[in-house]
Amino acid sequence: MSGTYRKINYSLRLAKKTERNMICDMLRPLSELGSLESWQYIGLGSTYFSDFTLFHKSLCIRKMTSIEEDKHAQERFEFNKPFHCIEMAFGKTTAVLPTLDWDFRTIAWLDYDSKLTSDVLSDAEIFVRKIARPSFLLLTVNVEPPNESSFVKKQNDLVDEFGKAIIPGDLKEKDLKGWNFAKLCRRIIKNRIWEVLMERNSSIPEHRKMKTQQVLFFEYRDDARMMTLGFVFYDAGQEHLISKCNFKSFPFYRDEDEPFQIEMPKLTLGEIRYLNTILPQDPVPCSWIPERDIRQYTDLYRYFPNFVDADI
Amino acid sequence: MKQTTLDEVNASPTKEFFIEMLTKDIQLIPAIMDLVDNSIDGARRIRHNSDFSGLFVKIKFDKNSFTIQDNCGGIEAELARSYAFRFGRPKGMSPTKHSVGQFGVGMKRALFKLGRKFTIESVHKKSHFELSVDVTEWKENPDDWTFHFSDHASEENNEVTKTGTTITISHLHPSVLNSLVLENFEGRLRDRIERDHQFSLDQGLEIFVNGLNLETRLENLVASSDIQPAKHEFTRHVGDHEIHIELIAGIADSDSESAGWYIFCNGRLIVGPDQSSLSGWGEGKGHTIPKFHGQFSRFRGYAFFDSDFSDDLPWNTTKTNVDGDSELFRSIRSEMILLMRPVINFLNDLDRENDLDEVEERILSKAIEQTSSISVKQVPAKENFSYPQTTAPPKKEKHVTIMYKRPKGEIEQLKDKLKLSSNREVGVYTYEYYLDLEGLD
Repeated sequence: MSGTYRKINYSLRLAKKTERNMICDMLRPLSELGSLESWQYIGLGSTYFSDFTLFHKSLCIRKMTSIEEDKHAQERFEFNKPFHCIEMAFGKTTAVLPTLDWDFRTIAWLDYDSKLTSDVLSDAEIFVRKIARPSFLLLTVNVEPPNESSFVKKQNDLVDEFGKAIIPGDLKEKDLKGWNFAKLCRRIIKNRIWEVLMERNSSIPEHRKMKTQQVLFFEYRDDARMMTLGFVFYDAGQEHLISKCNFKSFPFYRDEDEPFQIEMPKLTLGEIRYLNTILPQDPVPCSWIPERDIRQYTDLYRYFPNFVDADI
Repeated sequence: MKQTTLDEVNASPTKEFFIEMLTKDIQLIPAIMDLVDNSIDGARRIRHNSDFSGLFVKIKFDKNSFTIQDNCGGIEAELARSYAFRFGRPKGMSPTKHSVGQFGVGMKRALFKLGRKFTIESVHKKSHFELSVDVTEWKENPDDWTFHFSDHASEENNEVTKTGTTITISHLHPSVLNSLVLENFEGRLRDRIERDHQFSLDQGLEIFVNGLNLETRLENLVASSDIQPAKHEFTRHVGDHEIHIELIAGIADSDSESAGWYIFCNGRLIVGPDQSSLSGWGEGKGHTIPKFHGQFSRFRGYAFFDSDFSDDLPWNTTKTNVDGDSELFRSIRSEMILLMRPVINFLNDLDRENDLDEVEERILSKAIEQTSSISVKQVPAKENFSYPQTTAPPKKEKHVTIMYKRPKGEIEQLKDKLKLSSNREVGVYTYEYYLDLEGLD
């Protein structure tokens, strides 16, 4: 793409911010399963706690836990907590998750910086086994494809990490390139969640079995390629409430292997102001703004962060 | 059993009870493995030379049905009629030679475990038959324990290439369905079959699961003029039944997860890779073999037990473990230990070589790098694992390593000042500087 004026400042992580706003919107209907004030939120807030701030202010969630691996800077995290209702839990996610109180409806966002590993799958497994109420799981992982030289080496690395049984048997070279790798990661995560859920349900009567649906599959790239999956979990008897949540009505709802790509339109402030005067009606084509950028803006404008937006 | 007099007490089992008892303790994958074992038994029956090329087992399943199809010889109609569907092995039935499925229950158990309707079509050299059962209907008559062929013929002369068995199970039970529809289930089944039947796969048998061809995992052993694996063959007797045993020991890639002893009974992997005292590890101080650890990551041992009489083999009823107490196994275990010792010595010598400063002196490492490999079934008989003997290195004064860290800036300054190019040289220089200054060198 020519024109450096079209590059955006990746350190602002605009796609990540946009994603966070979209997720917040999609969590709102969970109130059909119980007022959000009574839910708990579990996240990996780091020192910024952006998700905690947003979900507390927008969704009124009052019980929040941030898991932090760095045990040696506890005071720093306690200092930076934006609200009193956030509790810190120090340690690795695999160690901390089983110790939390699962007697709440839970939204958990395991937002890893790293790639998909068997530890990530273990965390998902702990979540699925531990939840006692309707819940929502978000998983974010780095999906940069492996850069080993040969397909065989890449395949062996996957087998070493996950074991041969859960790597799809029909794996091809193209599955490990570009954004296809995200689809492979989705498949591995989804299959493991489905398997653990089946095991959990195997000795439970029909009406108490837990069900799940995938509702989100985001791909974005502020710097490295990233992917977020979202799954809602509910009792078999709550199917009608899930229909009421109407997740399908969101334009970024994704329940299969087609992702929603979050691409930031490259527009000037003037161009944004101009488009805003027309929205939410369809903007007329404009000869000096590329069609593609107009469309991307129209899809996302409600979630697009303002440049002056500061996390307070 | 109808009561005819008031003296008689009905003690007969119900079909419901029988089916429940038969199927309750077996998991889905082991039940499917029993069907695979039966097909492979067929392969061993018709290919005594153990080359299975051209033979296949195809497994296909979806939410409607489960099918396993093979071209491995079929089931004789008379066997099906009188013995194969009895519950338990009746007296008078001659043993299936070299069989893996010897306990008389695997196929029936799998059929009832999976679904409510099944069909078996079999073409054998001398006969063919077709049998369909609706279990729900069959259960309705408590006294009639027979099935009925829908088609059969004997006194035939069918070509061996056209023989085989197809088993189809439909109206799958909900608990089975819940597993079968999972993508991971297919992967786990493939993984298990590849693991347990690696030897048969290596012998050319093709096994497909939902169209995907399985691969053998049997590794090749390092072999050359310098390094050669050992192989012993024995015959032992249990009563007047003969058991044929082959033991092979050698080395392969350094991979601690693949290292250890692999124990096969009639071609099926029962245990392995074993790194425990079962196969002789961890005899400890004063005994012959050390406990397994990373230094032995190249070790590979293979023990094959074969017999016409599967009951005599040293395995447990679920084929998941070796019966360590069996006299037969205990006697072979001491042979395994003897065979293992030279390989352990080699791996110890190899490890010691890494302490040698001169790379040229690392004879054993070089020997490994320059070898080719040989498949397990092609290893020739050989008394002991052999490798190049290293001459004892001249007695050198023992060297130790000193390691310490210093800020990078400091070291870079010294490198500049002394006109040296590596951190190591700075360390050596400063050390010798001190010795020199103090008159200690």
